[in-house]
Amino acid sequence: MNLLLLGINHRTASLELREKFAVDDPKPLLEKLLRTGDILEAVLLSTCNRVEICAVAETMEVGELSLRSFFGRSIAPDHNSFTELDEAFYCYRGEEAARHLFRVASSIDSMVVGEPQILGQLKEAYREAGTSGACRSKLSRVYQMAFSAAKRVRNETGIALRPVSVAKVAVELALGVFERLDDKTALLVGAGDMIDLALQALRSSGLSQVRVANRTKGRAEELASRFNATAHDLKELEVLATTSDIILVSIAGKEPVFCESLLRKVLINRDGRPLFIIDIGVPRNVESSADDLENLFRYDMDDLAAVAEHNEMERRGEVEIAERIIEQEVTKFREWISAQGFVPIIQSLRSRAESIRQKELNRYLNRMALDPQQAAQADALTKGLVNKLLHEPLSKLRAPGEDSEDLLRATELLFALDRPATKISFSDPEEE
Amino acid sequence: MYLVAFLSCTLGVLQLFPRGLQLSAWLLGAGSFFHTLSLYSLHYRDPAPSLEEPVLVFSLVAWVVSVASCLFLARGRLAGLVVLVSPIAFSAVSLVIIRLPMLESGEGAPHAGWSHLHVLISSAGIGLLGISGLAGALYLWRHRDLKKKNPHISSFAPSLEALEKLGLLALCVGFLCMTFGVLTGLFWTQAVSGKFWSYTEHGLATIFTWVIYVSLLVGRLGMSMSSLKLSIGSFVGFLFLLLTWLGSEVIR
Repeated sequence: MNLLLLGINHRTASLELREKFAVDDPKPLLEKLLRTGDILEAVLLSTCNRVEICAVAETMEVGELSLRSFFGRSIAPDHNSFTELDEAFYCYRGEEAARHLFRVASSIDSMVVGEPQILGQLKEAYREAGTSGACRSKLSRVYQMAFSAAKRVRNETGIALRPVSVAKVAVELALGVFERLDDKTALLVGAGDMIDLALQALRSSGLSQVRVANRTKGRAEELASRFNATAHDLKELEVLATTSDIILVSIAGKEPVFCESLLRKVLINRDGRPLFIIDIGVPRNVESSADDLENLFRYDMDDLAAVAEHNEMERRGEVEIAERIIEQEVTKFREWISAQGFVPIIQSLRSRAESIRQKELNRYLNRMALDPQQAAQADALTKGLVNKLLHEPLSKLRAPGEDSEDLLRATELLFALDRPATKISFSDPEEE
Repeated sequence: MYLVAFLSCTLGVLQLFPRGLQLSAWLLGAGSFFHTLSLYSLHYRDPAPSLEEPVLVFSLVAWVVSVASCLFLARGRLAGLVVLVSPIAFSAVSLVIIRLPMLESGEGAPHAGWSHLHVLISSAGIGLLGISGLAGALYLWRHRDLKKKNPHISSFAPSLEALEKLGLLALCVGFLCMTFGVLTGLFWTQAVSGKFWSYTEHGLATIFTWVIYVSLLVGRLGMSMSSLKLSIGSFVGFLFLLLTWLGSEVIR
C-alpha cells in the first residue's frame, strides 16, 4: 500500500505558520483532494499543534507531490513563502508513516506527552473523513491499528497517569487530601488568569460550590457569574475560609492575604477538617510559616511546578515502554502489508484448484449415471481433497517470514499462476 | 490469589503495571472467597482442629481483614490498601497450610461454646482494629508526604479523607467486637475457673488496650480529636493489641 503522511507540527513550524494552516472543516478539502485522482483515500487532522494528512496514493512520488501542492494551494492559499513551508514539512512513507501515526495517536509525539485530547481529535478526524467518503477500507484499517496502539500504550504504561500542567497538579493534590470534590467548597481569592485555569481544572473534577472574593467586587462578580459562584468582599475572608475546603489564592499585593495567625484561627473553628490552599500569587499570598499548622496543606507556585516537573520526568521513563509497544504494532502493520501481497496469489491458486476440480467432477458426472445423493458425495469428496491438499501450502504462504518472497515466486512457477499487476493490493479488512 | 494480589498491587504501586491496583482488588476478593471456603471446609476435617490454635486465629483475623477490605474497596478509592492487606492474608493462609497436620483436635474441649464465641468475636475485633491501624499508618505516611510537598511517593495510597473515614468506621465496629470479645472471654474464664476475673498478663493487657480505644473514641466523637492524632492513636492501639494477643500466645 502506498501510505503517505505529510504535515507540519509544533516541532517543525511556528505557531504563526500553524495558524495559517489550521482547518475548521476538513470535508470540502478532502473532497477536493480526492478529485485530483492521485490520492485514493485521506484523513486530515488539524489541531493547535499539528496539521497532517495521512493518505493512500496511487504512487508514492506522485502522491507526495500532490499532497505538497495541495497543502500550499488549497489549505493556505494566502501563504506565499514556499521555502518556509518546505522546511516545515515532514513526509513519511509506508512503514514510517504508520509509525508516526501510531506515535501521534499514543500521544508520544504531543507537546505534553501523555495528554489525552489527541486521541479524541484523531478519532474525530477519522470519523469526518469516513462520513465524507475519503477514508475507506485501507486507510480505515491503518487507523484502527493506530487506535489499538494508543489503547495499548494507555493501558500498559503509566504515560497518562501523572498530570503535568500546574492546574491539573492542583487537582491531583486536592484529591490526595479529599476523597471527592463534588461535596467540597472552594474559595477563590483574586480573579486572575491562573485562578481561572485552576478553577476550570477543579470544576472538571466535579467541584460544585465556588465562592469568589476580590478587592474589586465587580471583578469578583464577573468571575462568579462565569462559574455560577457567589461574589464576596475580602473583609469576609476569615468566615469564608472557615467554611471552605479548598482555597485558591492569587492576588496582587506585597503583604500576604493569609497570615499564620489568621489561618490558626480559621483552623480552630474548622473542628479538625483539613484545609487545602493553592497559593499561585507572586509574591506569595500565604505565609509559608503556616505550613507548620496541623490540618493545613499549602502549595505555592514552586511546589506545584516541582510536582509537575517530577511527573514529566516519570512520563519520559514511560515513553521508552510506549516506543516498544509502538514497534510491536508497526511489526503487525508490516505483517499485515506482507500478508496483503499474498492475497491475490492465494485467491488465484484457490480459483485455479476450484476450476480444475469443477472440470474433472463434471467430466466424471457426465460419464457415470449417478443419483443426486451420489453426486453430492462425489462433490464433497473432491472438495475435501482439494482443501486438504491446499491447506499446508496456503498456511505457509500466509505465515510471514524471510523466505516469503521465494515462496511466492515458487508458488507462481509451480502452479503456473499470473502475478497480479500491482504487487500489493488491499482486500477489504472487513472481508478478512 | 493473595500472593498474586500482592504482586499485582506492588507492580501497580511501582507503576510497572498501571492496572495492577485495580486488578489486585479483584484478586483480593477472589482470595477472600476461597479463604472463606477453606475455613468452612475445616469443619469437615476429621478430627476438626481446635479454634484456639494460634495459626487458625491468625487465619480468621486475616480473613476478617481481607473481607472487610473488600467491602471498603467496593465503596472508595482505597486500592492502595491491598499492598498491606494481601501479604498478611497470604502469610496467614500459608501458615495454616504448613501447620495443619500438626494442629490439635478441638473435639471434646470443655466449654467449647464460650471459647469459640470468644475466638470468633475477638478475631473480628483484631481484624477490624488492624484495618484501623493500617489506615492510620497509611494516613501518617500520606500526611507526611503531602506536608513535605512530596506527594508522589505515597500517591498509590487513598486520600487522607478516605483513610480517616475508613479508620474511624473500622475503629468503631472493631471496638464493639473487642468489647464483646472481652465479655465472652470473661464468661469463658468463669466457665473454666469458676470466677470471672483473674489477674493474668493477658487480662491486664486487654483491659489496658481497651482503655486506649475508649479514649480514642471519646476523643474523636466527643472532643473533636484531629485526624492526625486519631491515626497515631489507632496505630499505637493496634500495636498494643498485637502485643496483647501475641504476648499471651508466647506466654502460653
